[in-house]
Amino acid sequence: MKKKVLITRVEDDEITRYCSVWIEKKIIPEAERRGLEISDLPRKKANKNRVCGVISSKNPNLILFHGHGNENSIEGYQHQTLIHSDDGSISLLSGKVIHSFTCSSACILGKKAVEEYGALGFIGYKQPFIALNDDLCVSRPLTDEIAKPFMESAMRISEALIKGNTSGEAFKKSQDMYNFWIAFYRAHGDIKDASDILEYLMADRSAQILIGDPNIQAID
Amino acid sequence: MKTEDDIKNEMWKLVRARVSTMSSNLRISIGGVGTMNKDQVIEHIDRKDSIGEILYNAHMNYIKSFKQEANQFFG
Repeated sequence: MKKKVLITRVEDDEITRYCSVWIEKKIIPEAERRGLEISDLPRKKANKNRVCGVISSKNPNLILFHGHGNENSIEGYQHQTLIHSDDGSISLLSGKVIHSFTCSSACILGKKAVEEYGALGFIGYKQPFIALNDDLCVSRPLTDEIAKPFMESAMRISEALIKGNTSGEAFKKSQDMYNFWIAFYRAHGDIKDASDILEYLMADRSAQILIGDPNIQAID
Repeated sequence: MKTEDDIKNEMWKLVRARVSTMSSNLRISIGGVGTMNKDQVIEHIDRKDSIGEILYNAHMNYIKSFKQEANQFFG
């Protein structure tokens, strides 16, 4: 039986647009190569009715949220709440592995999803995600060398989970990628903007957290 | 003698000075808030609002990391 993945990508500001392009060009092709059944909900499709409907009807093994959020919620297009820790929607995460590339949602929502509602694993951020990008590259996100370390490190989670890594392996790969870029910019402090990049990479590395069983494999 | 508030105010000035040196083509995106240019970021730091606090905390942790590294290196 085909393994299923749900992907949301909101694309309503620069960083979420960068994410969305990354997913379109790197994550979705990999998921297709692996023969996964993909429910891709970009832009306006990343709304509560659609997202909750797909989770209920298709029962995906893996959910990759890419958008905004806060301690209690994961948001979709134009900040519409998709999943909230205080309403029934959180129960939809039961039995799933989730990568929530949204701000702070690991703080309360992620913890509650795993500890009270049976989500198998939740990888996310316990503080707001911070990234830098070059405004000269906005129309070509994949060429943006400033954004690259942020995107490559964070998106390593989604890539690894799609490839069949366990939650723990995916988390480690992402942390290793943060460590690589942090070491790189420490060693090359003469590169323009190195110290700014370094500062926020370190913040994001510290903010990333895995909740739940690290040995769970959403896609095998 | 400097009070805790005095020290904190000086740290805010330090964060502001640091952000002021950012290249003008850089944009900072903070999740849940959106994307800002350097001048917009400085406004938030001057207001010491919730966005300013996020950047203040990131900067403080960055500075602390130097101390941790020095302790590891020198024992």
